[in-house]
Amino acid sequence: MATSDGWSGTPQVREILRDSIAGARAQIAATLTTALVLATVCFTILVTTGQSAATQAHIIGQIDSAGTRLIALSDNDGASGILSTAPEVISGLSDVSWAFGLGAAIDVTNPILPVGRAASRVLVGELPPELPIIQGRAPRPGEAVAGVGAATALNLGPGLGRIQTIGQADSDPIGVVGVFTATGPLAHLNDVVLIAQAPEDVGTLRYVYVMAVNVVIIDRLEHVLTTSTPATYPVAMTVETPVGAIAWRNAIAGGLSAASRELMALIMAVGAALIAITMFTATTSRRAEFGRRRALGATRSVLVASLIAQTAISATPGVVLGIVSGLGTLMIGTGMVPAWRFTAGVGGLVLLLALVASTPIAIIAAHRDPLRILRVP
Amino acid sequence: MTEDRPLMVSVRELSFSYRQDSSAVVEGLSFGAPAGAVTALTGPSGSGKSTLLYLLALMIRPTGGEVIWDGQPTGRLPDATRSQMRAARMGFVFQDSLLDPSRTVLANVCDSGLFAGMPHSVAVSRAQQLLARFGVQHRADHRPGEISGGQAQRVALCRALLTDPKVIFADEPTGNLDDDSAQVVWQALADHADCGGTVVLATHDHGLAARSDVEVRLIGDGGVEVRSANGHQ
Repeated sequence: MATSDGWSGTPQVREILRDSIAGARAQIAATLTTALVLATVCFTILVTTGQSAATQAHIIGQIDSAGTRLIALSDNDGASGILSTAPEVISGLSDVSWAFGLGAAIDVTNPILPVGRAASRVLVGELPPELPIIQGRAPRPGEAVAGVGAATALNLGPGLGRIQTIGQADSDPIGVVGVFTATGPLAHLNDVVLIAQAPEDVGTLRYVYVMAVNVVIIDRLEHVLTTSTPATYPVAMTVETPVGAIAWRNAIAGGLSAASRELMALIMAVGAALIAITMFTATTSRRAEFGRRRALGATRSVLVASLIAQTAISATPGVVLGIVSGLGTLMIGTGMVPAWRFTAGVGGLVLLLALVASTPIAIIAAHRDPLRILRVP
Repeated sequence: MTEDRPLMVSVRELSFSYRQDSSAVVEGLSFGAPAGAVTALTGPSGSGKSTLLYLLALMIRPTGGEVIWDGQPTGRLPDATRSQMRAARMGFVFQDSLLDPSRTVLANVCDSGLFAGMPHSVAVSRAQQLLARFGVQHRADHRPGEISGGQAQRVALCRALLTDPKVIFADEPTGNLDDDSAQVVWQALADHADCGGTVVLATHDHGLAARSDVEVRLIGDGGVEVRSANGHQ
């Protein structure tokens, strides 16, 4: 049946939104209550589960930095003949953070004070971040850097010095321009002097160390390295992956995740109940409004949409407040904050929870008999 | 003569009971509310005046018979269409005004425009004109709790008239008002009828009923008497 006049009898979405904003402002007590409940839920999740997530990420980060991503290609007896171009080729793979190669060990001494000795190896590729220079500078081709243990053994002073191959007194000494320190799976390099060389000046390598971009792709990368590392006889090459460390890491990550999930589920359940009660109370107190609006021509769907829009309008500042205060508390209390994805996920989930909790209540309210409100005894 | 006027809304063999096992509030009722006239539904308390009003306004569905709008039966119309008809073609005045206490007078008047699909700017402009017409424009920014009962009912009249509806339903519109305010309300309803609109009011005020063009008197147990007059005064 057509309606009279120029009015469609169907409210415009923009006008419903405007009305919802006006309604949220007019019912400031209900709006503030909703916002505060949601802020509290968000805050609680962040300072409990969020802290767990941040701690978990920190622990996993530490474990990963300790070597779960490091793969070592080795050719102990030189049978494989790993080509000196291997580090450059491997570094070009998308799953690789960095790679460097080491040649065979040669004993060196300090020609000025030849009482100590240390092993030296040719270095092909950039010195990785895991071997930070703590004194001097990084080497250029033809220069050397010593691990902290090797520097002590060779009596290299603050101004550093030179090294010379033992038993080759007529060979040219090589300048040592820096000292590095190594930890974790590369700690054994502290006792080694690394002599930087361009790949074209080196024959074959005994070791190539490869850092994967993340622990998840270790298996795939191991297969790629086995098949595509440039070597004369690749099958003689040994590929070592940190299988034990990865298993350990995954076990810890799984345990932490399970604990976080249980805690979050508990808080979300309590939060959902609180939100539902808040929505129910806020909606119940507005029964007269719904009855009047039904009489004035609001369809049930318009009433539901309006209520949900009002919930979103009340909930959004609450979620923002809860996240900001939660992150602030974590930052001040622990110095750690969860990943932005986690934080955004919590905010989105709580907002969704509020909308979901308000929907059935809105539907029930829209289906109430308006005559109970409108009829005066 | 009201008999010559087209029927805007009418009922045919209308029956209604709140529960299946309870007695009918109205039964086998047939009458029409003509355009350009005031039709009063009268009867003792509990006789079903308000129920009949809300049946005519398509807020509840009859258990038997038909409500006919502009010559078209409404029984099969879905709820959304009935709501849209209320928004676009009907205005309501309730006994206790039923204004939203949390919003301003102006916002309350604009409320009916929202559901009719009226742009907010148009609603505000028309609302201000109506508030001025009924002498309450100075209360536009007040809350309903800050105005008198008579002023509140004038605001309710503004809300009912905002969309220029074909039919105004009024449920005991002067029930709680002093004589002056009651006269303002009556005059507004009569003016609407004079302009070709239809007014249906439920009232136990015999004076109001006497001034109406048509009186539909509910006498209990579903019975009804219809009186037609020459015109409202």
